[in-house]
Parts: sequence; C-alpha cells; structure tokens
Amino acid sequence: MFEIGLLVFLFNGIAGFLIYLFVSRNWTDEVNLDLIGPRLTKW
Amino acid sequence: MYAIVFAASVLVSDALPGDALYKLNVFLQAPVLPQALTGGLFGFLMGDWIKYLTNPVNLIDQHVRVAHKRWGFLLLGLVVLGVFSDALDQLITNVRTVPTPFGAINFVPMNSSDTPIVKNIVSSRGENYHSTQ
Repeated sequence: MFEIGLLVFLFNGIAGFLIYLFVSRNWTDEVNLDLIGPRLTKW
Repeated sequence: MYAIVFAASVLVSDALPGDALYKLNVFLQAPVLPQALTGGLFGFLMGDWIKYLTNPVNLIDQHVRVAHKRWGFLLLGLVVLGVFSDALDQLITNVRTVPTPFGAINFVPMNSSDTPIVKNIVSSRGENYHSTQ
C-alpha cells in the first residue's frame, strides 16, 4: 500500500509538472492578433 | 496511469497470472486519492518554483527570495503529507472525540454499529439485523 501511494504521488507529480509546463507556455505568440485584435478591442 | 504501473510491476516481477490479477486488485482498491491530489498539486507548484531558480533575475529582490523560500517549505509539507498520508489518516481516525468548552466534537458516525441505539435495529423484513447465527 505504501509503495502504491509513493508511485501514485510520483506519477501525479510528473503529471502536474507537465500540466504546469503546458499551461505556462507563451500563448500570446501563437495567437494572430491581427485577426482577433480588432474584435477584442471592441469590448 | 494504473495500467502503466500495473504493466511495469508485471514486467519487473515476472508474475504469474493469478499474482498479476491480485496485484491489479490491490492497485484498484488502494485508497490513493490523497497521494494523487498532493502529488499533482506538488508537481504543479514545483514547476512554478523551479522557474524562479532557472532565472536568477527573479530572485534579486529580498522579499521575493523570502517568499520563494516560504513556498519551498510548503512544497516540503506537501511531500510529507503525500508520503505519510496513510499514517496521518490512521492517526486522525484514532481520535474519536475532541472536547471543547461547549461540548465534545464526535467523529464517530451516528449510524455506526458501536452506537448502542442502532445495535438492536430490526430491518423491514422483520429479522434481527445482528442475528448472524
């Protein structure tokens, strides 16, 4: 039981780290602001 | 994730099918929700924590350095919680009542079989609930 808990902690830790890497990317460079920029500034 | 761990355990241990099924049942029935939650939170926060270490410019400010150290202690606490959650759970469940000036807080469920009120409860079918002989 204890080893299973350690394994789950390790696997979920790696998963959480990968999720953080995915979330904390620079997303704005991928967005074409020329297209959606004018629509966003309307708001 | 369970499948990967199970396949790895079978490959490493060179287990018989029955043994493998037993291990699968152990994996599926293991109460690992605290470890899963603390592990995921730890990995997510550790990603942000080591991002400060990779760029020394972030840690020039004294206040930021103090806050970074504080978050490191929190990460250590998460590891301790995740690793010792089984022992902590047993410790907490052994505490049955906590006395306060207004009255005792009771952690034992009211419908527990230890409670004398529901000991001799009779089911709707008319037979005694606790008569096993």
